[in-house]
Amino acid sequence: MNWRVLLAFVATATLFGEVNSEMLLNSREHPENWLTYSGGYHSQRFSALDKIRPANVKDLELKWVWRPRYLDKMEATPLVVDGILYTVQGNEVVALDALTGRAFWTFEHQIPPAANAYLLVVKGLAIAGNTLFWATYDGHLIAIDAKNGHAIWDHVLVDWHKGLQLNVAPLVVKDKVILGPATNEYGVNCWIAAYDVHTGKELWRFNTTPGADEPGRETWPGESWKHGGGSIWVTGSYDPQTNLTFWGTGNPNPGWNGDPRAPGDNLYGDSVVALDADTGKLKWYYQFTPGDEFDWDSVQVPILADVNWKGQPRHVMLWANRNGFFYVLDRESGKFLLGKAFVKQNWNVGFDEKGRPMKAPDFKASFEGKYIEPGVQGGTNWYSPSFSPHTGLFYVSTWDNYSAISRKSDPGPWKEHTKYAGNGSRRAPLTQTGRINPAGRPVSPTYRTEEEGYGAVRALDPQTGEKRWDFKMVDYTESGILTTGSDLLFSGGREGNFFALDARNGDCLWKTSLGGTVASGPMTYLVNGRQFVAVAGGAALYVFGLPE
Amino acid sequence: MNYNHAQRFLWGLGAMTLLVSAMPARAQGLPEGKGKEQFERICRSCHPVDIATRTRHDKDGWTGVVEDMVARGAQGKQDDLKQVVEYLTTNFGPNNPMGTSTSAAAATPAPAPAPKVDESASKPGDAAHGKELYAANGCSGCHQVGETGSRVGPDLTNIGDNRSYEQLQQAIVAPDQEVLPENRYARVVLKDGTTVTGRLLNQDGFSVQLIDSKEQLRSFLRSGLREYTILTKGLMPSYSGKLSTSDLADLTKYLASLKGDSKP
Repeated sequence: MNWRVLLAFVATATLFGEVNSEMLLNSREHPENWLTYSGGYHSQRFSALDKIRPANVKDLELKWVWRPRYLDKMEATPLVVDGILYTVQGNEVVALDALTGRAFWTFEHQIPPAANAYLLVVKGLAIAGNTLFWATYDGHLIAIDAKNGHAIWDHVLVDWHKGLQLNVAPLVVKDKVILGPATNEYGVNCWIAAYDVHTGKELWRFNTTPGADEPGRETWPGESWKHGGGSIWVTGSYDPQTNLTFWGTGNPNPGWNGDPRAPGDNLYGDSVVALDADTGKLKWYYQFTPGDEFDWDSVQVPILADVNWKGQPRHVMLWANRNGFFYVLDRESGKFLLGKAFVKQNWNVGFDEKGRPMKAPDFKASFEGKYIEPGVQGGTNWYSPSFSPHTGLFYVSTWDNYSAISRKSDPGPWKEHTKYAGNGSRRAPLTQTGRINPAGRPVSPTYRTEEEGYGAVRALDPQTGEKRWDFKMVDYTESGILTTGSDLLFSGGREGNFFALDARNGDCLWKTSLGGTVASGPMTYLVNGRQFVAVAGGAALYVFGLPE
Repeated sequence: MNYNHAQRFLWGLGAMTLLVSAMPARAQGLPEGKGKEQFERICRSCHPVDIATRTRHDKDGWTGVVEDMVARGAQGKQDDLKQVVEYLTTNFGPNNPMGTSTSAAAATPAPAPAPKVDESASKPGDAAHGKELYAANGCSGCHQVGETGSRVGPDLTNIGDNRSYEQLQQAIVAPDQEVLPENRYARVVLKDGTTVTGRLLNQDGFSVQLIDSKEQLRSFLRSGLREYTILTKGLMPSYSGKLSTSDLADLTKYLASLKGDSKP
């Protein structure tokens, strides 16, 4: 046990099981716990734990499995507080002994199956004090007593009948729980809001599609702002030094046909917004894809890092976007520092001095079909990336050599709880690219060549955006990434494998098969001096550790 | 059924069992019909199936949706994917009533499928003579029809159901024109220089599964390979110029007659 871990135990001894603001602010000093969706306010998914090392990782063995009563793929990252693991799937939240997997309690909330707009998924929970927060798919925010699993309060934030849903893991900052809804292409405007942790009362709200009298409204012609979307799909980050909270936003609606909202950038779609955590006031924003027509949501977790930038210490934000570009922004001012493609792309010919992308001249959705790189799923997506302060590298799950033919359709007039997407069939006709097989169809990963698309864990140098190494898979990957103080990297993918790489060079040091897609972010924790790694694969949570 | 499909099939069986007990509202409503098994098995691995059945498309629309899903990673052979499209078009076509769940579709019986028209009936050729040519040219050295022949090449037992007369003729004279992904071969070269070629059954970042020329199921760790190449062409010799026009028609006619249920 290193001194930091020892100190952390001493510091928390008097508050066992309770998560106070100091713990959240200094989560790096409490690596035995995993206190937020992304492992800490900077969202690096880096843990200082180093009991599991390159030299012994080959000895990892399965310790326990939690099998929820639902078949949907699990995307949640658990929380761990002083030996108790909290997680969520389907209709239930559970508190499990992190050592054995035995349940202390189960809390249930029945989600109507009809509420499902695509995938009945949930990303995870938040905790403050002894209270867990669950944003349910059908629009409730429920505060749950972490000791007994009883509801403390339960507020309906959104009406799923109107085309909104909640599936983010909330973020607790001081006395506020922050989150926002998403619309799965129903053209309902979304927001980010803060609620009082004690009462659930709404304290502030920032509209991700501006209201009638709000700045940004001018980027929407006519009445188009009324159905602009701007979903919140993943959890934001928080910088205590500036008291700013950062959130990525989803695509403008209708997603695949920009005609009803052109001309205009359609703020704050496909952006990162920096909000004052006390008031929700916008400090700055950066829009990655202005006037997007290809579903390139900015549904990525903002990674905050303090780096040496061109000889000067700088507080930056690292962001690999669905549009295929890796960005470095100054997180105090929002200033654009770097934008570089990390996968094959055909939409952007460069950036102006302010960091605004310059679209290729003919890059416009069409009824006949537009060939796009990356394809609609993006160069990456919501899968949590990682930054290791040890290696100084940024790690992202990528889809490369991936393309699509995107066809728009007439979305018609907006109607409540009716898809407002404007997407035609994304059929792949014969192309000259050589990446579509002669039958004119995309190829299943079972038979696919690398030229037809592949997934990878990709290590980027944040200083340049250049690739340092790849760990390639045949299939694409939806897995998040974890790095540790011993320079291990854990990740998985759709192939069902879960593996440990050397974070310095990408060498595979250990692997196992979980039999189902890994579509969650691995996390790590310490109990009784023993380190564990947890990851969801298929519809179950698996926990690994070293032999006793 | 390869390992991957077997595994997914078992998952699918488990899924159906569990769905009935745990989530009756979400799957009981799926109408019965050809292609239901493939639809559940392939689509279920990423999302609940009722999500696909809340919309209505014609055949072209569903083809687009299914191809989009394959582009996003859905796994299936072309025949299976074709059945998924057929199932969705039959049960969730533009004329099927909308409902918020599958039960609405289930409550309304799907229109009876149109009687099958044997399009090859009017095409030239003598199937009986084609069968003789099939044997004389050694086709069964690679292909299987019913219980007879090799499992190394594409199974032709149902080929008349899945390919048109014109496609079959083209496959004989210009086999490289269209090689379905599931018929791709792969070549591996082991560290000791041994080369193994076979039809690709599955692969991931760590290993490769083949059926080799001796019909042995082989699995290789990539770490033990010097070379691994997926061959997208050149799997079958062209019979262009080797068969007379009438022999080509006869052989094509024979292949078009292979419908699986009838004895070859």
